[in-house]
Amino acid sequence: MKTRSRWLSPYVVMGAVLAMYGIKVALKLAIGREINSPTITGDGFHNVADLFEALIVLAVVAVSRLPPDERYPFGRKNVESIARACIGAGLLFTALHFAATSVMGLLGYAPGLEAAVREAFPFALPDPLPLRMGEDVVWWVLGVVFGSALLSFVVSAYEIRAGKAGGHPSMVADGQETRSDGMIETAILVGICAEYAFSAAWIEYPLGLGVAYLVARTGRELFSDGLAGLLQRSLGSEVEKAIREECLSTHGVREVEQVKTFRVGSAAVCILKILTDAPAGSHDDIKKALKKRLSARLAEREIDDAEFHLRFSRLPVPAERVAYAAVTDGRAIAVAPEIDGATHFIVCDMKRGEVARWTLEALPDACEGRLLDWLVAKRVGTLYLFGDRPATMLGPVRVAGVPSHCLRTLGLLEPPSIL
Amino acid sequence: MQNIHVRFGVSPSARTELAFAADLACRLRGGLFVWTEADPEADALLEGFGEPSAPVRESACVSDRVRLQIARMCIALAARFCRGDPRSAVRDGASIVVGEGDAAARPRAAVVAPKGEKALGARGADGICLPFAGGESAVEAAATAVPLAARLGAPLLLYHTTWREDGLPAAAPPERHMTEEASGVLARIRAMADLAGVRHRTRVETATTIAEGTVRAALDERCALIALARGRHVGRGSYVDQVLARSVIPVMVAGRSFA
Repeated sequence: MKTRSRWLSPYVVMGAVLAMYGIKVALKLAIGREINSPTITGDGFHNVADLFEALIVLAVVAVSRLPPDERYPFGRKNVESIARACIGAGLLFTALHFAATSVMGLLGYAPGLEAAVREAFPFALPDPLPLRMGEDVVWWVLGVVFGSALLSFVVSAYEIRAGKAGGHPSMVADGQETRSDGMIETAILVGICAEYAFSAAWIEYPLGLGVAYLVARTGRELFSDGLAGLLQRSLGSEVEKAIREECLSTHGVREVEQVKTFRVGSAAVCILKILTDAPAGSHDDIKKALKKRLSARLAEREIDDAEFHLRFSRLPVPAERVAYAAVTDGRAIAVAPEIDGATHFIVCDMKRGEVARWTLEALPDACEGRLLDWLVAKRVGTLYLFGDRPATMLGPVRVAGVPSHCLRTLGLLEPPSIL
Repeated sequence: MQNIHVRFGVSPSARTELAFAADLACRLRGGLFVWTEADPEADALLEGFGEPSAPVRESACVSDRVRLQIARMCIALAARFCRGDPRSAVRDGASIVVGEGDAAARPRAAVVAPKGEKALGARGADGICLPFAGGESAVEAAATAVPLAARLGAPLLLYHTTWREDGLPAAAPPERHMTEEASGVLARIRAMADLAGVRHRTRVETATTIAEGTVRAALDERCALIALARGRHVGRGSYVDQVLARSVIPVMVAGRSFA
């Protein structure tokens, strides 16, 4: 059996993430203080928060891996949705802050406009400071920022891959957050390079706005996905339509009465109510085939982990009672072409259009001339006569024609056996 | 020319059987024969009650209804009408009788139980599942199933379930548990399929029971039909009857002329 590489174990991956943040924090705080750079020092403190976030993700992963029990029948995977929503909200805040810093940085080139904006919004607006670096440390700064960005992209790719492979959306979300850090670090790097190479530090700010947009988009996705998991939003009409189609393409399934889908952590849960007329002994066969087919269908939509709860019900059995006007000589029976010629009536209990039970009854003497009353008392809805004729109403009873006078053709008798 | 025979009836299941038969006849470019029961005693009875032409009238009514149903299916097919019991009357080994109740009997022609389906492959399935073991019955079923698959352009799934051989390691592939007889039968069926130009694949496993394994494999592999033949020396508990009782996929039982 193929086993997943130990390098994709969530604990190994999160260990690497923690090590990365540890290195980044140490280097950024050291070099930031050395060159008195609020940008790099601030980013270092941001990474301290990331480090704690990674610890929380590690705890979330450990909790989500606990097996389902009586108190938590779907397991505790939804804890990942909480982490996902929180990381999403954090990213939205980061994007907002970064966008505000970039806007204010740009406005710094138009002091009059900047002053007007600060007057209109006298609080909470960031104040980007110019870098204060000497020639002797610039390569160290470039090395740390470039190394950080590179490390962020590499580790985020590793974390996202391992999160997807292990079905841990909180790890995927943390990986996406790390990738956003990498983009921000790249923007800072470009700003530093532009300032030193072309004396054009302003390039950092429009680039920062673009990065802020990307980070915000990731944050919105994560927040929305986390909320979807927490509020058990359906997987969407397209997915549910595909599930219905797959069910109806399986032999034995007559109707899909109910489809309910939602997510618990990374796992999709599908609750289906299937209507069938298949024998009870084959329900397990249909169930097994359905689970396999639905798993394959959902995998096409990148839903690799799905749990199915299938409930089978019989098709509703509309019951009615019909009668055939009949003639009999005591040995043979035939359906009569006219009511007047009938000597007897075959009263049938129908289930789903098939004859479930029938009796041959003579019209009682007391009902002579009062056929309609007798049929109504017998709760007969339709009276059939031999021959094609347009349906008419005899009081509340519908009178219609059948194409045969023979009881076997009409399904009232089994064909003769030749065994 | 492969003829399809079906009983006429007024119940929903009978209408489904007629639809299945009409579709099959159309796809095989064969003839469709619709049968009504012959009941001379009932005819005589109606004659005594002043209805001398009951069989003629019945025939007219039945043909009208059948033509109407075929017209609604939007297929070009001219049905022919017969009176009697197709189970005993159809003696052509190449013919197919469509009927749920007929599959439990042993007529000369092959019988297809539609299992509530209105057409072969109505759900997008196209394969024919042919279970085999070490006996001759699978070869006899293949004699009916292979030409049918060739005409329909359907692939064959050759299915075999076997007992575990004690001497083999647990991880040994199921093929190694096959007996020599079963391997021989598989070779013969493969040769028949190759000769007819029918695509085929083989699935061998160690299922709990033969009927369960057959039905589950057919469902898994999206087969539209399970083809079987009754063994000559089986008394009670025929696998054919077990599959008929369990299957939700149409089942074809090869006729007595082959078995």
